[in-house]
Amino acid sequence: MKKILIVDDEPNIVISLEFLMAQNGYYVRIARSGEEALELVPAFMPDLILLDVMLPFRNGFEVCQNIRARKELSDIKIIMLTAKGREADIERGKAAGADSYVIKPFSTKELVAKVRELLNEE
Amino acid sequence: MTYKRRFITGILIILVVPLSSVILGTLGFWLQLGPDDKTFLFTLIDHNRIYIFLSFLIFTGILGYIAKWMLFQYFIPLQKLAEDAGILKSAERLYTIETKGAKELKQLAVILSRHAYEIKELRENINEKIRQAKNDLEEEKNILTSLVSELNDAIIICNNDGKIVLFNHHAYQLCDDPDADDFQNRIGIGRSFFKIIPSEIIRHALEEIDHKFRQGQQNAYTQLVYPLPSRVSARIRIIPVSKGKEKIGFIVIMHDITAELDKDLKRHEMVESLIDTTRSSVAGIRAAIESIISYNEMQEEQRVRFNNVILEEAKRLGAFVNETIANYKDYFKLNWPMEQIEGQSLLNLLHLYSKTISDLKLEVKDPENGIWVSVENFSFIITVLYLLRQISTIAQNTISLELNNENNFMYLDILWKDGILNHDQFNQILANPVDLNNVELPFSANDVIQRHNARIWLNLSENNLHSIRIMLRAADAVTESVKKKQIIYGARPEFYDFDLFTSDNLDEEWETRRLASLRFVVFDLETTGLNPSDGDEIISIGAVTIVNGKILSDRYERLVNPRRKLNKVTTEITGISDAMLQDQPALDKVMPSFHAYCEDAVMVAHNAAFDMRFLKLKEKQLGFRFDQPVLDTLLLSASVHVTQESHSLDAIAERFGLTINGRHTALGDAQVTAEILLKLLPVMQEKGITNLQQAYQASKKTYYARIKY
Repeated sequence: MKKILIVDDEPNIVISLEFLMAQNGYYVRIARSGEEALELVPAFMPDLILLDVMLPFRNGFEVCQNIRARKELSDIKIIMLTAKGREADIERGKAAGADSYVIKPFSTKELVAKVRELLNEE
Repeated sequence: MTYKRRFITGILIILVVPLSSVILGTLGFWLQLGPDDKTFLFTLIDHNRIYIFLSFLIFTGILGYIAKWMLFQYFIPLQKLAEDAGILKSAERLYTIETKGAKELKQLAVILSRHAYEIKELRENINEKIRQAKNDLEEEKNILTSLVSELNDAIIICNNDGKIVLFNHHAYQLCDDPDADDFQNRIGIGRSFFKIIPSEIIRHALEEIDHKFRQGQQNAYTQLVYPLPSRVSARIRIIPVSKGKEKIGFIVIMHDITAELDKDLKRHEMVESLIDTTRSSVAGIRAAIESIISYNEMQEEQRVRFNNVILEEAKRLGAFVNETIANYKDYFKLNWPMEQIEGQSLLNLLHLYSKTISDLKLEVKDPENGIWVSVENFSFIITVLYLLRQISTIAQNTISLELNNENNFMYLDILWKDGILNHDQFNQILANPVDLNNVELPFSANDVIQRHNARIWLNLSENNLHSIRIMLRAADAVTESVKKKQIIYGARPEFYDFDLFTSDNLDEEWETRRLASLRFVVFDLETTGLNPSDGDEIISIGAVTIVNGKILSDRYERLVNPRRKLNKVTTEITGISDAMLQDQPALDKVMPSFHAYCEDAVMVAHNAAFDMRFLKLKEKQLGFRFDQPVLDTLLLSASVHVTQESHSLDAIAERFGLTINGRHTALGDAQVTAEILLKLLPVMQEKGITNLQQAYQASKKTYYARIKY
């Protein structure tokens, strides 16, 4: 069973994401801040992270960069979720090393498809 | 004195030469004679002694008469003629020369008088021409200054040294920091603009313009945004001023964009947060709904959770929209170029243009006085005319037009009797393009109403009196802008001084600069007493600035808390009481602004030794140095009017016919001292005192200069 870490501080979206991923057969854990995510990642070793950009204290870009800076975590796929849809933000996400950048609101089907694709399950 | 001595010498020579020749001749004759002849001569003289005595008397008499005749006919009249000729040269009024001397001298006097008359005529002629030319120039300058002062932008013109030559009220307001009590950043004629914007920035801008110019760009200028010391963000345009090929200065046009920037920033902020929040909420709702739809067999508990998510996010979204509208309502306003127009004028315009519509009988009711509306004249008037034309095709009788003010909204009503217009027709009229003389314009009445943030509706009444009502916003900003204008009129000492363009080089030594080109700060102190070393303190400082022979409106006046009681005499003389000083700042708070005010200027005071002693004593304590040159009007007056007895402020003022407003107030005394200096400067120039060095030397020479400071 592949593992997915959801990093988002908004409970209302987390409910859906958690349900969605669980329904699709993934083992899901939640982190509600960047700090929590960085603590959790080395132990949990998820296959993929759904990472929100707007997190308190430490934003998603920083968390992404931090993970990408560590070799042992290099296999982890990262999808950034954000309400910031401006070109500059998308560029910023790519620069941080995200595998994909999904703008809210998104289609749940497409998100699931993207997750599958990145995990080579399709 | 000298002419008397010359006269006496002349007389003596005249007397001595013939007398001594007679005596010498007689002596030679006497020595030649033998003893008998001598005896004979004695007898002869003895017999005729009366004749000899008489002839001697007659001889001296004639000599004396000749001397007197020469004295009154030639010596005295000649002397007077010389003096008169000297006066002729400098006299303002007509001066006639008369003489009682010899005929030739009388002729000379007539010739001189004639010349004097001609000189006077000529001088008057020239003066009149100069006056005329000055008036013309002054008038042109006045037109320019009023023009500049009425402009909506802030304008400052500077010479190459950054000295301000002209500025307007807007510029003053923009640069003035109301919170700061110092003259550091205040603009004024002759003050340096580089305190507002550093010279490097201006130079850079001018170089850039030069570069553009060399590339063949005409009318080149540079624009930049710069935060002024008054914490105003200004859009600044810099344009060089040229005289032929030579650059002699630059024009700075400033526009306050603080509000604009703030508005842009707020708008940006609003858009960002609107996008982000909406996206997050919609994402939550969409994900929840899609989950519910895709997973029908979902547990009840899970479904309730999703329902709650949807409800919560939908509420959040609604609340957020309301919040945004409340927080940013000022930033939703459209930036349509509205103009404020008085109700009566608007109706007059409509009435005037409505005459182009055939078959229209329009009656315009006069609105209340003082009603103002905010409209974009062109589109609004065209639209109302368009509506009138549409109504005129259905109305049977006269159409009337009214403008009313109700609860801060303006209602423009088009009223008519008989002739039905149904709501569909009305909506069609509003949606169709507005046409003007059968030419369709690229907007509809709806567009125009929307742009004005106005509302329009149709009122159909049962008694056949129908109306179209347009609800407009009242122009609330009118009073403010009218007030602003009045301030400009009231405060138009907005000087210019174009002579600054030809000012001396700044780097030249103080000493050798022409007095006329210097910036003077003329000041006066009121004190608790006469001895600063015994603890007497400054209680008031007044100062005015002179640039190019003009006293500027930029005056300095401060009361100072001496932190000690005043004695009765001080209060009597100065009119300043303890109570007046109680809440005033102490000297250490006042001195920075006074020091800044005096910067780059020669300090001038009447009996400067006294005032400088007070300032010098405080220098160490306050950490300021007044090391610029100091001039004393008392010494200067004494050096040019040697024969005058008194050089007190009152005496000099009276001599020059100046009135003192507020004697023994610091500003009053400073003002009159400045006026005295302006009177003294030309007199000094005549005496060859044209620079500071010479002024110092002249001051030192005078009797009073023994007091050292």
